[in-house]
Amino acid sequence: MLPEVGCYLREVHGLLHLEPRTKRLVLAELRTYFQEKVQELQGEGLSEQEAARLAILCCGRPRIIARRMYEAHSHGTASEAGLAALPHLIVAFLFASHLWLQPLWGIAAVSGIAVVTILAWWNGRPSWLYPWIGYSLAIPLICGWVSRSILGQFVSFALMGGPAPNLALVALVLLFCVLSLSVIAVTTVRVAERDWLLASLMLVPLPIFGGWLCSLKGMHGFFQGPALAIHALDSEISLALVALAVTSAGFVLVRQRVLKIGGLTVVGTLAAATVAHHLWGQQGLFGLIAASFLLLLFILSPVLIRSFFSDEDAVAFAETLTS
Amino acid sequence: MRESRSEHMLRGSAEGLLLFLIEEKGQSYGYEIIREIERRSRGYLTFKEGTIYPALHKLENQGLILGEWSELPSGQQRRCYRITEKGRKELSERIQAWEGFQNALNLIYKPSNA
Repeated sequence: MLPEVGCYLREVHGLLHLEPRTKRLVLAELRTYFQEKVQELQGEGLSEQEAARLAILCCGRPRIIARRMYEAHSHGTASEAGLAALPHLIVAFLFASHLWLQPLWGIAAVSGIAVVTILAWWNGRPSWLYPWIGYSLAIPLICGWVSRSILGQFVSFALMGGPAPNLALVALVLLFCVLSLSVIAVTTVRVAERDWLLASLMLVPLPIFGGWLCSLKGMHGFFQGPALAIHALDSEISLALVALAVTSAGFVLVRQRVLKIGGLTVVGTLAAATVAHHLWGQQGLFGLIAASFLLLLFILSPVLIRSFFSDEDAVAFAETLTS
Repeated sequence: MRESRSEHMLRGSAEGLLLFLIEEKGQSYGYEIIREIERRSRGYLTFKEGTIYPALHKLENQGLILGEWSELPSGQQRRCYRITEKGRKELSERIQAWEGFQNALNLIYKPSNA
């Protein structure tokens, strides 16, 4: 492969936000194009280098090709858009109807979402899957939060003495927390490797649930607080989740990446501001803006993960070109 | 850079042209289609060659064409496309729409022919 062409293909590779299999297919097709075009131009009397330069010029700018490829591959059907919105709507319904505290409804929703996520993950990761993953990642987050008192007891025992906690239970909770955090980290990295925007979409519900759990802490936990106070945030959360449902459906239907980034930033900012208002509203406007900004940074953090991995991707891709 | 008038007009019809050429040839590949469009239009229709591949992928995702890798005697891999039944139906609708549009334009530009 000629160095100019290799450089051009590496640039396209870095700009393509597609799943690895499709990415390989696109690059292999472009590579074939360059081989044929360069051969033809050489037949017309051009040197290999001149032919490569002209072929690159005829091919067009890498950014445009990458953008059009993304648009070609990122359009789903109405039913796929409905599936993308469904987990948000299920959880929004649980909050709007105050049913989330009822064990049967809670367990049915949680297990249903987890099963769909696992099945879809192993069956080609369709475009509607990412919001489902977000909720599946929220499950260990909530379980870890519920069991935090056991770890608190252990820390208090280790630092100040007092009654000894059940060490087997502490070890179990610790193991669960470590495993859960590893699953969240590994999944975020895997999704960000494909496209940081999908990882951001996946992470959006987490700050909402994080804020909700923090607000429950002020009410002394899930089961002890007064019923009316426990449901105080339900309407806001269900509204935020309906907004996320619309955004997720838009992600499947809209082809233009810039619109997706804009939509996610606006909805993510609003959701983050809602959570921040309930938690840190008393800190004043500056505190509210700072907290919203931090939560938005968390939602958009996959872009940093992606930029870290793109270098490794480019090196691996360069090796395949030269082999 | 501003796109030329022919590029602008081609943008709306590029997918129809691709379907037509693939259907006519039985099966075809990206670079062959690029050359064919240029040859038949006597060089009038030219566009950035890399942009034909996104158009082919879009048609494939819509189920209008089907792409398959084939190996040439030289060992080189090439992705060839052929039209599907859905693609044939879409092509016939596009040709009908184009003929109607062309007739309407002719009635305006060349009223004596009507």
